[in-house]
Amino acid sequence: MREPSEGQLFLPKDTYRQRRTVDAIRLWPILGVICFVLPIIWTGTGKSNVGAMGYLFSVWVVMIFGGALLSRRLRHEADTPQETSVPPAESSDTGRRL
Amino acid sequence: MSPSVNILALVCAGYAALLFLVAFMAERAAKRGQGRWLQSPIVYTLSLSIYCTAWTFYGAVGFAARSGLEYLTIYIGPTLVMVGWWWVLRKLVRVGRAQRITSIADLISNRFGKSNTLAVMITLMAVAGTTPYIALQLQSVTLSFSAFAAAGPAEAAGKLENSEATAFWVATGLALFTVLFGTRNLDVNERHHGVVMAIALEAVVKLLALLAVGVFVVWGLGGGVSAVIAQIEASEIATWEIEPSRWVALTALSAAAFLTLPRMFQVLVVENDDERHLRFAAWAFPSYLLLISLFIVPIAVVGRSILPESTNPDLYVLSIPLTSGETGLAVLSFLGGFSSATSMVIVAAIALSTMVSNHIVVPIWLRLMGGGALMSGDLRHVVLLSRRFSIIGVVFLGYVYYRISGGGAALAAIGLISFAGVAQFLPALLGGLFWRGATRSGAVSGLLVGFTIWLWTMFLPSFGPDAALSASVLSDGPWGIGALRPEALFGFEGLDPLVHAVFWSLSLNTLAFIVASLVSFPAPLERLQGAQIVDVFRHSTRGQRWRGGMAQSEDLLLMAQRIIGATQAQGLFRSVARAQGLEGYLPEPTPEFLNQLERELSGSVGAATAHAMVGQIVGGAAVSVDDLIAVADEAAQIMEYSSQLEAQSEELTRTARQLREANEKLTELSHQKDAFLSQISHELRTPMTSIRAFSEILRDGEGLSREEQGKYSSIINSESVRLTRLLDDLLDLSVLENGQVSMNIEEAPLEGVLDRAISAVGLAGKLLIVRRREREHILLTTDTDRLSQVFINLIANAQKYCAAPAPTLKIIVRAKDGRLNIDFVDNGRGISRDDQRVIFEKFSRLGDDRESGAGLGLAICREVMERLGGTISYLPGQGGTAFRVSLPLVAAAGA
Repeated sequence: MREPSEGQLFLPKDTYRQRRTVDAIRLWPILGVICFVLPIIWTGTGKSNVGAMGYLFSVWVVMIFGGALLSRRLRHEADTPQETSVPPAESSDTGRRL
Repeated sequence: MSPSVNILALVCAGYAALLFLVAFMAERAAKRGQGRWLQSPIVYTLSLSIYCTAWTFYGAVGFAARSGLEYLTIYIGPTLVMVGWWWVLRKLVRVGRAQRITSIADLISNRFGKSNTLAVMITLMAVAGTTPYIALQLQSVTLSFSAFAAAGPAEAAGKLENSEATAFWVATGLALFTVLFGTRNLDVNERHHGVVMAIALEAVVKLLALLAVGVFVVWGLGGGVSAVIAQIEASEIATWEIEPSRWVALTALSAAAFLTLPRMFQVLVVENDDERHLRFAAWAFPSYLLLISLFIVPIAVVGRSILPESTNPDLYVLSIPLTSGETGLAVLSFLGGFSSATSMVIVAAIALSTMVSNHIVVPIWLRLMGGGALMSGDLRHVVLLSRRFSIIGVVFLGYVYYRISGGGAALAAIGLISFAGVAQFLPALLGGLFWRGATRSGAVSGLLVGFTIWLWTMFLPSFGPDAALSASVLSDGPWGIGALRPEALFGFEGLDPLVHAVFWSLSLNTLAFIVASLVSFPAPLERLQGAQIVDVFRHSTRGQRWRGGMAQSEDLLLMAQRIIGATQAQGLFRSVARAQGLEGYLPEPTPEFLNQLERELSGSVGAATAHAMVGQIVGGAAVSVDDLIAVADEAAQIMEYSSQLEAQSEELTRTARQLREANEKLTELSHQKDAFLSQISHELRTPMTSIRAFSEILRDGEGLSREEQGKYSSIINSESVRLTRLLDDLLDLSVLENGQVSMNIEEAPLEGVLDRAISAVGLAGKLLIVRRREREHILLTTDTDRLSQVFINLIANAQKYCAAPAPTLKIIVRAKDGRLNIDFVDNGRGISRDDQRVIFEKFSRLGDDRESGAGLGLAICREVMERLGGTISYLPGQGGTAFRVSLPLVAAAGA
């Protein structure tokens, strides 16, 4: 395997950055879950729906832009395959091309 | 004045025609290989929009008018799933591609030991969960039609009785479209470009329609953004009054359904061309959802203020432009709703029909036919036919449901029931993807428990009291057992019915899944599949290993031809054989080859059936001790090293086998060389002897009558003719072998060459020749004399050796990839595998038939074809002796 193993202590800088990008991609939806669930505390407080819409759509836009940004970063860094892909997928392609 | 319903029907038909055209063009472009733009991430993202059905298009406004911002949960769930693509979708898509998954039932059955029971269960549940949803789409189209009719009072009376006819014709049209473009090719992994393209177009139409209505409502009717905001503040839905449990449960439910709805699985996983498209869709699809939901609340609020109280809020999107006299906008909005409904039905029908046909119809058919995997006949027609009938069945089941239910309940209710039904697949799906310990028993029990609770607490009560369940059961429980009341299981009262049903069904489903998984023990194949799917990103895991013997390749070819088609199967076998360094169409049945073959087949008929069929031929699916150790052993690196060693040793074994084969062939050739000398002297001596004997008689015999003289000299003559022919053949062969021959290249139609060859053989009425002349109009640029010499040889051989009572020779012409293949297939006994290797050698004769000539014919044919730049080979698995003559089609054109 060319990929540095998990146990290695110091990674090359680009590999390090790539791993942190993946971390961010993993954590991003968790932030989304928290932000989208937050409005349940307004129940019974008489919060205006216009305000609620403003909040929810803002979270939504932030989620989209953050997601776009992160996947862009990943595209730059990880176009060299990050995991060795499963060979069967390729071998079955050869069959289909015939 | 509103447009008449007839004009609307015309617009509808025009739009449908456009969809057919787009689908047709896309199919054609894909076929010609110009379809790069078909595979763009934008098309993928747009195709995901079948999540937004008519329920979204019409129902969301009704949802908002009834319960405020709660409708947003339906979009927030999928947004979170897409934004979190790294967690689940990435793995799902990778597994889908690596295992050639055809549906969600296929995936789950594949993961849990390729179990067909599981696949059947999921298929039935998916049909039960989707049928109401299809009914809902038909209902929405019908409703929108009658909304138009109601706006034009003249037609109103006549329209009402027609609503069932509308639903019927819409269902028929949809079934037709889906059959046409959804079952063009059998391999599901060869994507449905036409369908996907049509859906992408519909996605754009519905988004534009909703945005146009929204813009019209805000700036045309509402008087600008601030005025609309003021109107919202003054409306009934001005404040946040959402029950927290419903907010959370609905978001989770829509997120789950986004992954498990059969139609979503179809576009997300099966139709996915490229894993990288996910990265784009991860933010582009949430944007689509945001735009779709942007104007819902303004439309609901403005609609409620300007429309009469009696108007159905589900149809505000249509009623607002209609009452404002904006006919064009109303038609656009109608088309938007129509698009949402149709695209959902099309994809759902494709997804469900694949499941029904692969997991129910084909296995039953195979069992009924008895013969199993080795039966003759083309299975592809059966599969395609069953898929077509399944599509029609699924769509009309939806229609029947619509007729029976009467189309009463509010749109949103049916949608959520359907969501909750398919969400029951989630524990098995996620557990299967991420947990090696998940077992088949766990999946079966989880699904059974979840589905039963869903039926009891959600589906049956949804028909209202005294419909499916009596009112007393609803209020007191069955037989008065309060703990089993459908809307308050175990005495938990006061929960919202939806939250109650979702909570109990999913939590008990998960619990049953985990507990049964923990206590049961998986079969070896389950553990292998589990390791392969859970660790799909690590390459150290291997699939299950078939063990094959030599004699089975031909059987495998026979079976593969029936499932994936003759050309494709022969191509696959040939390429594998070539990769193994073998000639012809029969590769070694190595474990790799068997696995590859199984995957190819499963792309057509699903994993469980493919596995069973290969297993039937190869004999018991052997899971070796090594494989079990591989599953159990967690030390991946040791395993990797040993698997490398094993791969090397396998490579060596294979090389050794090839060497042995080459050696055997050499020995055989040397025997033949030895035999050649004795053969040739024998062949020369026999005619020589009789020539000498009779010429001596003629010389010494006096008093021979004229008849005797004539008789003896004609014997001498015929023997010397035979001798000359033999010498000619030998000379011909040696000239060909030394490459000294000059070819006489000319242009001639194939048909003519075949005609000439057949008449030269002089059939004497014994051999029946079957040809398809329309395929033979191909102009050849070659040495036609030499080519017809080859044809003559093959036809004469068939005439001589075909032992069938009614000998028939089929000549099949096929042009493909720049080569022309001409197959000569008779209905005789065929040639045994051992003999196949030597028939092209000199003096090889099968049997001891004295009449059979010198055994030079096929050797000459082979040399001739080599000179012509083509090949001749024996084609196994055709039910008789079959030879394939293959020529390059240079400078040849169809006439």
